[in-house]
Amino acid sequence: MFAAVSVPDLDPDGYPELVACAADFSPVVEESSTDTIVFPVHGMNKLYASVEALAQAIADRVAEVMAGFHVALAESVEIALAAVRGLPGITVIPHGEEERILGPIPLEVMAIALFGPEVPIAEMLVTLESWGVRTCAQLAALPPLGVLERLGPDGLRMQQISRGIADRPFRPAAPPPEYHERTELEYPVALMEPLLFVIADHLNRMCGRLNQQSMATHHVDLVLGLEGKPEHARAYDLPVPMRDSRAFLKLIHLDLESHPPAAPVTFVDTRLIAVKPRVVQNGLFVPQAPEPARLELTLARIAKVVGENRAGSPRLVNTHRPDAFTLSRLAEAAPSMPCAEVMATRLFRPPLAARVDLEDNRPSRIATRGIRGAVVERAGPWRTAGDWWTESPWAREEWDIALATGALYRIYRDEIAGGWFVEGEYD
Amino acid sequence: MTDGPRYVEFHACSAFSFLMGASIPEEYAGRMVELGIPALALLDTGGVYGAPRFHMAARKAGVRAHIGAEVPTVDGCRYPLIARTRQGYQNLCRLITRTKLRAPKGEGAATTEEIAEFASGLICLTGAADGPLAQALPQGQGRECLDRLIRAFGKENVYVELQRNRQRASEAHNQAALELARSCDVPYLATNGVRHARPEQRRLLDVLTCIRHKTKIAEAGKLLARNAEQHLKSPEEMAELFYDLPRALEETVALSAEIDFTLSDLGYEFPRYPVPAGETMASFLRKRTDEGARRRYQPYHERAQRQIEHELNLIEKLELPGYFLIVWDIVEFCRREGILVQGRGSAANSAVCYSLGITAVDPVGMDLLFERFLSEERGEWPDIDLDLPSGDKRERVIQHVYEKYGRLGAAMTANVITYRGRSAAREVGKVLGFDEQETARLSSLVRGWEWHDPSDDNARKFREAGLDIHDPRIRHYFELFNQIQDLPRHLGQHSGGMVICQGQLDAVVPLEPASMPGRVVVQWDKEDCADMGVIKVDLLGLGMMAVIEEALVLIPKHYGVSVDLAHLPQDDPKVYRTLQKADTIGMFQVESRAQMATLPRMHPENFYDLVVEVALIRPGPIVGKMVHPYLKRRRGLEPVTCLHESLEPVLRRTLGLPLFQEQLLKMAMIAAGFTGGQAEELRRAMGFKRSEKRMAEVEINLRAGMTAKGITGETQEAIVRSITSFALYGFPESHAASFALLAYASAYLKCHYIAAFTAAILNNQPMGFYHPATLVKDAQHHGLRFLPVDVSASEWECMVVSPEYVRLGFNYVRGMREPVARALVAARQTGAFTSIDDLALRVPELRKDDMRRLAEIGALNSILHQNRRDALWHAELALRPPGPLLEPVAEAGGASPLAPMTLEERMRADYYGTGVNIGAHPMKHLRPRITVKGVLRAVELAGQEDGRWVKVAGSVIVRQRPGTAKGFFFMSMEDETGVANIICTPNLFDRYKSVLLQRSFLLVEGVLQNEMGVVSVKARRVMELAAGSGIPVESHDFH
Repeated sequence: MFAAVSVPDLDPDGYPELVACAADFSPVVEESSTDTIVFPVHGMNKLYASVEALAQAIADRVAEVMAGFHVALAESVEIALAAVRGLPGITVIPHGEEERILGPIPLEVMAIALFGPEVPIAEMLVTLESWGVRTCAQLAALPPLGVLERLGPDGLRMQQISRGIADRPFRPAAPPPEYHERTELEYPVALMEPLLFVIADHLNRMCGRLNQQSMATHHVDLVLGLEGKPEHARAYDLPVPMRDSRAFLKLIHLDLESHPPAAPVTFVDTRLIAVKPRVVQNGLFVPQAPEPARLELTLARIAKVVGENRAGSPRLVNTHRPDAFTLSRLAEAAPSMPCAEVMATRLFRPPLAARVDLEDNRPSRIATRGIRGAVVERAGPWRTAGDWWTESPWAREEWDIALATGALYRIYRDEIAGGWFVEGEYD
Repeated sequence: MTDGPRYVEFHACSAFSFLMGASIPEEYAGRMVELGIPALALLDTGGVYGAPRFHMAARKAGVRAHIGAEVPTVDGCRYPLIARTRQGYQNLCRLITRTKLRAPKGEGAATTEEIAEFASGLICLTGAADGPLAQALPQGQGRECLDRLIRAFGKENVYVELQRNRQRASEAHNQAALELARSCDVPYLATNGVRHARPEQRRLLDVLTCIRHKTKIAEAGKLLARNAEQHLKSPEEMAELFYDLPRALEETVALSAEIDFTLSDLGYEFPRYPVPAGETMASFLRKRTDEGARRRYQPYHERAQRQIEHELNLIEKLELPGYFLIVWDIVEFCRREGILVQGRGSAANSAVCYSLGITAVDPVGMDLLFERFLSEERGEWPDIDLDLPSGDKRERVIQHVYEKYGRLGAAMTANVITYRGRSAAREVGKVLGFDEQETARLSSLVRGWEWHDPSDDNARKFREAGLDIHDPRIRHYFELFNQIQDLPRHLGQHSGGMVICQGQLDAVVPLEPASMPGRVVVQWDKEDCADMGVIKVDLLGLGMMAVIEEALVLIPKHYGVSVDLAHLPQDDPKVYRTLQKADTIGMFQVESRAQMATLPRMHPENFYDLVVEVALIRPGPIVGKMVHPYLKRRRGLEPVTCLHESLEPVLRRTLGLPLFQEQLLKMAMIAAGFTGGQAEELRRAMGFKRSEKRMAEVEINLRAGMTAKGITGETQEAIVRSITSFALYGFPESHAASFALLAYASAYLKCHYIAAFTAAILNNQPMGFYHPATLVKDAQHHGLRFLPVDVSASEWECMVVSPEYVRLGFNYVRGMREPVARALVAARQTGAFTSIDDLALRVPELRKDDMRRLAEIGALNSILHQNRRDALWHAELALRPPGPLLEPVAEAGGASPLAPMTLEERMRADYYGTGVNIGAHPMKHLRPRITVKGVLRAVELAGQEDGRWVKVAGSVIVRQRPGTAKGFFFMSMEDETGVANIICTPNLFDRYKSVLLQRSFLLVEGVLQNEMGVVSVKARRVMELAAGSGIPVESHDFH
């Protein structure tokens, strides 16, 4: 005998609680859909006065954690599922009574119970509707051969269930392997070395499991419980899936040196996300690239020195805004393009604020730190403006100027904020 | 101007470059005047779409319009070409036509050889970044490029183009181009590569760019403009930009002076009609007219003779005999092919057109104004519109014209589709990165309701929808949404306007393929064609013509009599009795709710009353508040007075009130002293889409004219009001007369041959005001009986079985395709279907859905005399042939284990499967459940007293919220006895909006209005009739 419990409109967070309720009655549960479970209750009736009492006990247990549920007990999985979907409250279907009890259930409801909410037999339901066949009883009354000929195996299955004939086996849910380790420390640890010792132990065990299951990881979460302070959580993304525990440890070591915990650590919680490892065969004549793990470590070391988000590969942004670029991870950087020989410009970062005198709206003198003098020649203005639809539009007027010293500069006026700047010097 | 710098802009693209320019040509003309630019060359990409509008606007503004185009080539360049001479313009048109006609719609590129082939008379600029020189220079082939252009166009016609748009990269190109120009001794000139008239329109250009590239603005990056410099600049600004190259500006002025071509010099000639030897077109026309007049006028009285002589003299003087003969030739073609044809519009004012059989209204008898059609003073082509049966027959006539004048001699006029309301809202929203939900909300704000509250400005709409107009994103949206309004979006095809030409039309205007296969369209719309003096014949499809034509074929077959449309009995009492009762569902022009509400009050008794009726219920007379005074005067409840005594002769026939466009023209001529030409300007302003400004200008002249004639004060106001209220909706008397003829014919056919009329109207859907379900119910009320769709008897079309019976055709089976139905009918010829399996076997074209649908609507019942469910049961098996294993046990037919359909199930299946129901009206089934509530039948309303509180229920068949009704909402509800009309006030509409718009069956309570046989219920409460929900009844909604 099987029990089915359904909670229409169940919050996804409530599903584990529903499964937990079933665990009080059975070690195995079938997770039939996002709001329904089925579990075997063979022999349980010996613990209760009757099957009805068992059903009531299940209902009482579920009622402790949620409301608005239905319970159905039947000899087979599908009958229990159809009943829990189509009949409200608690239903017990004794053997031999299936056809009578399921009779009034609308076929649409039964179809959802059997095939899930994305009913793949919508066309069949339309046909049944055009036949005026809307309930299980009406379907059960049709000749099975006629149904098979017209509606195929799915139709026959629906009809057999309507007649109380069902033989689908129970499909228990198997828990996915967990990559999670947690250690409550005996006393708060304030030093890095003992802490790394614990983390190394976690990583070794989990990487061992990854190895056994031919898996790898591209994401590690580390949570450190702190004495009297909120938890210290760090997350590590890797460019390629790996399972080298030493590399992970070094990465975490470098990171914790940059971001040390603010108080002694009381527990260590480590979790990996398992993914399939990447298998790449390098070309025979392709230069050997650095090993991904080593490259990641090197970048982590650089980032520790220059600061986060300041290391990577520059990438041009698709905009007219001058000197606009972003930094991307080195591994993702696009190959550099060959470029023609052009005059080099040395840009001042940030640009130098300058005082510029104008004559006939053209620069005539400039003065800023280290650059001063009359403008002897000029070209411009070049105008660029953009991002007008955002809250930070920009617009500028550029000039190229030559001073008496022979030096060539690119200067610009910020037309939004005002003010002149020297942007760079031509070689 | 002589003191300062002088400059002519030689490279401007307008919004007619479709998404590559942000200003319409009129904006350029206006801006040229502001900036002191004497001339501008409009070079739209791939065409001269905006040229007529620019030409007209420039002429009005007193500036010069040079015409050209940017011609794309296969190597990705765009050649800026300007017409120096008429030959140059013709070459440009031919070049564009050739590239367009061989490419899919909207594309087309020339080869460099073709550019050279058509170079004569054209000036070529070397272009900017996408020009030929810019492409050649980086490869070191600048000189070769320039030499090639010189060889093609001649040295005097090639100019090196320099643009300074404040872009760093362009200056290097300029310096290289300049050096090349100097070394080759080729002149150079400055342009600004203009894409918009004013700097601030750069934002709109960015949005258009995004639409063109189907991207969002935040992702468009370098596709967007680098700055806002590509606007029309003053000579001073250009002089500053080219301070080091003053010659670049001087050259523009010199070149402009050399160009003598303008669009006034188009060289268009209407085709000559080939006449037999010894005849001239004039003599031939005289003979044909005389023959026709003797047939038409019996006796051929002196007034008609005088009128015809007068018209022929004028036609000859204006050299128009060819035009009349060509239209006559089209009409003759129709007659030979048995295609019904009737001229409408102002042509119906002409006795020559009447005699030639082009029109069917006798203008002499009706005293119509010939000058409205043709006048010596206007110097404009007359306009003849021909109504043809919609569908295949009209297409045959169009193809005949193509064949007769050649693919390059005739084409359809274009219809410029512009950004409006919802399409503008959706596109701008998408570009600015609003998500789908927000975009839907924004576009719903500009829902296409016909009626707009005067205070309902866009800002208020945004506020009401909870959108903050001060949020920068919303503000940009709002500004851009307003700016994009009325900008051309793409070129469509006008429904029927055809232009033809002596020689080659592609030398007058470029031709393009239309989206419809076999059609070619010119780059101008019908207004542009009229402005350019290009003559057009409108071949319009009219559903009712097709209905009448089909009915005239059916009548002799089933009634044993022949009906001649030209000789229908005049003043048939049954027709007028029916019209007076407003029993007019299905009749042309008089079937709308508003017409029905007027007919009993109008009480038409003769043909002219019908002409007035057709013209009366129009936005013009409604807005001008003429309807009620006219009806009151007709009943003697109001004295017949004129706006002014001088207008008495004009207005006498319409009881002192102006109802027709001709009257308004005459009023303007009499009261304001307008000349015929000015009156024509007034008419054009009335019928012109983009006319508000024009109307305002005309109004000033009108007032000045009246003041000069001593008509002032309230009288002047009243006259101006009656003229301007006709602005967009004026209806000419001749047109009303042509329509009234069709209205009379449809009424006559319905009254006397209802089976033929109903079968024909059901076969020509969609058309008219009502859904077929209503037409069926109405015919049933008139005693016609319907037979269902039946695979053993039905044809593709609905057919007349006898004068009492019509059988529905397969064309009413939802989803069934014509070839399948025809295959079924053909298979039936070899013997009746013996079973459903037999049907499936002999008509393999039948799909699963067809078979199920046929079974569901009872079309298979006749096979083996089974019910619908039996048919469904067997059809399902026939669709899945059993495998060899089950073959021996396959069932052969007969009864099924399924229960037969109930009455309600059959009704739902009929509505769902055919859209009509030939059984009892659903309300008959619902009636027992609602009579206890005191709900009246529609037919009972007429017997109730005016002002009584009543309840009425039914299925909604028409919903309407006309622009002229100040927010009132009208609805027609049908029950088993007829139709009840419901009126909802704006407040009530707001309160019950969702029920009124979304529910099929309603119960309405309110006050009965029963006056002069016009019955309606002014609703106070509305609720859904829940029992009717789920019955898939369809309505025709006009809101």
